[in-house]
Amino acid sequence: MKSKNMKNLIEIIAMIAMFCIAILIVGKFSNHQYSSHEVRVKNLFNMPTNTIDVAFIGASEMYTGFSPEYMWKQHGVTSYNIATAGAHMGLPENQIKAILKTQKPKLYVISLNGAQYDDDRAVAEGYTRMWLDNMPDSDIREEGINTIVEGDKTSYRHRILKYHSNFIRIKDSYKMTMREIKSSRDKRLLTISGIDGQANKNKKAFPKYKALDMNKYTKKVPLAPKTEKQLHKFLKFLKDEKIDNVLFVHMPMYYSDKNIKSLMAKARVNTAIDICHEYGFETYDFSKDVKEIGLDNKDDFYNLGHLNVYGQRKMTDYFYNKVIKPLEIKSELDEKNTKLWQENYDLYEKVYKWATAKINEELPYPVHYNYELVDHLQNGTIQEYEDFLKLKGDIMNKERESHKDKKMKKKDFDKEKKKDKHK
Amino acid sequence: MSFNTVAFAIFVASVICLYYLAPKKYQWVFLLIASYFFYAFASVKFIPFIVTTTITSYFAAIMIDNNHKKEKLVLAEKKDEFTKEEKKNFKNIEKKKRRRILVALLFVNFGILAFLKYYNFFADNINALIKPLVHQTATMPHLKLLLPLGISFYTFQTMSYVIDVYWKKIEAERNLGKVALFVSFFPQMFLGPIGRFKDLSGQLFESRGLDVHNIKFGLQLAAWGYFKKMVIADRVGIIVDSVFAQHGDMAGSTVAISVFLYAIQDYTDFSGGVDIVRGIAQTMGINMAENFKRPYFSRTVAEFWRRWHISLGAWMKDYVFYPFALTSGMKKFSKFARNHCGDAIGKTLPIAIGNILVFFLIGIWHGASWNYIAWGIYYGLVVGLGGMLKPVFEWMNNALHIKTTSRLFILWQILRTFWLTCVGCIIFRAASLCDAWQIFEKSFYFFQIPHNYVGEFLKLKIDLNDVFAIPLIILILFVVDLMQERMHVRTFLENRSTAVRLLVYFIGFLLIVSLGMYGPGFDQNQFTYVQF
Repeated sequence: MKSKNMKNLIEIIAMIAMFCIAILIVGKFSNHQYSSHEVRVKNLFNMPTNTIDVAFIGASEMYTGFSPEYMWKQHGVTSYNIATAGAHMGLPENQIKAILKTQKPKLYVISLNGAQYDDDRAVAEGYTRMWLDNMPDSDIREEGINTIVEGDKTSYRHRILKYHSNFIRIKDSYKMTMREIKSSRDKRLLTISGIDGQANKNKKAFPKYKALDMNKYTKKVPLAPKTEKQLHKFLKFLKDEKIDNVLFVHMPMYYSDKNIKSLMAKARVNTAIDICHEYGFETYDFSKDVKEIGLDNKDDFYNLGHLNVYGQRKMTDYFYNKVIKPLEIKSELDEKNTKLWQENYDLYEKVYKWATAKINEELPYPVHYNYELVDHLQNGTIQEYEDFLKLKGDIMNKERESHKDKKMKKKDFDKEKKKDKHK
Repeated sequence: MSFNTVAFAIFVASVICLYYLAPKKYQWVFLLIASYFFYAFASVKFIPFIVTTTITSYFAAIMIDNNHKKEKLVLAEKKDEFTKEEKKNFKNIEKKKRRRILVALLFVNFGILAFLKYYNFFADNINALIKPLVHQTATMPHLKLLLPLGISFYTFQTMSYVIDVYWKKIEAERNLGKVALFVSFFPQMFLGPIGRFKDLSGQLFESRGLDVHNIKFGLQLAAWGYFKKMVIADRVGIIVDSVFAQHGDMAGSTVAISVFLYAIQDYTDFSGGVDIVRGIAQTMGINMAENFKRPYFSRTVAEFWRRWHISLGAWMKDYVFYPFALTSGMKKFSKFARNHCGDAIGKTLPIAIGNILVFFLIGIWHGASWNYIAWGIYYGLVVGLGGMLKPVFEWMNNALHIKTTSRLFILWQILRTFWLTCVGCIIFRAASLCDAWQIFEKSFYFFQIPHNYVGEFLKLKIDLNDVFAIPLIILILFVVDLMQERMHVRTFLENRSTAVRLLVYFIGFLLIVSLGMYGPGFDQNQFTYVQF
């Protein structure tokens, strides 16, 4: 009887152990967002120590605007895009603190794109998670959770609560987990932080003569309260920590007077630029330099606010010549790291070649590319990727047509209803 | 404190540990404290309601029991003094006294329940009727009323206790604390089952030593309950919610599948919750009655109701159906029916009427809505007519030479019964009776494939991988339930090797942790039956 009790007790302990193991496995395999942002942030923390000399911080305009591989090959400067889509002004402070653990960048380039956001967007969960949830556990991460996150913080601290359902995507989860383990172990192909965009031309490009001269657009509107608070807090942090190798940028964009929303956003950025000046920081507004950069609204962008690979190269060259060269920043890498960067560049070249071919085909659907393209190029399964993009594009177009039809039908129905009413 | 929170897990683990550490004599006291703590944590302001039920029932039961004893004593003492007539009169007087106490108790407790649950429904419907005729201020006010946690369950459970005392099935419990524990035992607060005093009291108040086997079995049962609730019910619930809300824009096949999924959701949500309740109780050596016995394997709707929410069905049978059937009015009606319509109808018609009444009450027990009333009447008619038409069905089977014991016939019966319960599900779940009719109509277009299947899929708000996961978890449910039809699965597992059991635990927990619906971003469905 006693031995049976003991057996049962051991089994209960084993049951609890199985439960804990299940949590560990699910936690390890499911903590993914299946996006370039995840890869970009996780790779950052795997970068060899003190090999990043320029840190680009911001949102999608940064990782589509700058190519670290191209920058290194052409100009001998290492860099990294610490950028996630829609990043708000609450993130840069935490990002700088995180990068300082393993890197000593000679220059921080921080986008003021986040200054345009309203209060809801300034603390939006999705954009916050792209950074925080891809960081390794650390005191900096915990500080980020405490200072940036509004509302419940439990699921940030215990990511399994948010991501456990990803386990169902067994194939994708396995792939991402293996990629994570590999990159941590091998330290290869980590800097592909500029490979994320669309290999398309800008369908919504407007004629050059309709573009506003942003040198003349000096309108300013107040920032949203939370965004303003975030910006001031960040600038104060930089001042207090004596981090003065910082400059703030507004990435190149074409504006027309028809797009009121983007002009209002620019007006907020103008205000943010002034605030940066108040703290003594340098700023560059590249929306004023689109001509000098040599950008074309249609050929160098894939939509109103993001550069394609053509524009990215132009921007990278321009930025180096305008900003980095005068600062005399040069990277010194040992043989091992030089080899790694060369490998990154070779891969980047393959991506560039593929992307430019696709841009010139002018396909009728978005040709997204990111870390998945990188995987397919390396595995020789690029056709599979292209077929997937076509299928996705066809489905999206079908969906768009169906919505259009529905809208038209509703419009016609309402018209008829009005007619009948009058009768 | 929801079932799938860390707080609840910590609470239960603490209760189990402290229960066994407490002096055996006072284990039931500890359970009482834990139950009231749990109730207070859920909502302190509702404690007066459960205390009212407890105290009124305690005193009513004692008064009735005392009256029984007094009657017995007096009759024994005056055995030789009383004439037959005097005996009869004395008994009637005492019976009337007891009945007054019982009626008063039922009036108070069911009155509270009825008022909180049905006042607004009643007021809104009256107002809708009289609105064109009277001034706005003359309408009945709509009140902000909240239902105390578990009020439907504990009210029914407690009233059954007092009625059993009234019927002399049991003696009244003299210890107020023990009555309070019977009323408030925390695991059953959310979802029942509706227990009987004679079954539960012995277990609740018994002193017991640590039984590791009970803890293991209880944990297994609770884990299965969590699987059913978190992995199956909550996951398919996403599809059901989407489709029932937008059925007008969905294809027939989508609607039909979602009706099937709702049947699965309803079963796994409720039975999963009850398994968690029973599992927790079992860890403390308390065996609560089974409330579900694989109802979708039923061959008739009547059988379905002997396998679904068994404790409510049994309560209705014992405290509504039989008393109703034995009233002088029904006896007279039965005689009338036999004389005018023949033996067969004379026998089955009163039963059918009894069933309609019972199911009508079961319907309104669920809540104040025309859907629930219609649902109850629907089942009443199906069960009632089923009973009345049984001879006809038997004649048909004979005439067509159908072998009623063949597997094919049994399968047909099971599928037919399942379809009938799906119809009930539509009435139960739809937003209104009008919606129910539209969904019912549309579900016949099972082969209607959506024009824009991508758009239709996106409306369901599920992941592409759910297309594989959902059939898998339903298959697991089907296999386990099928096994349970033939054997006690936990005993079957007990007889396998430790390695097999550990593998089962691991896979089970992996599925619960990975596929369970919890955390932010999930519309975690509160147990459906908590609202009742």
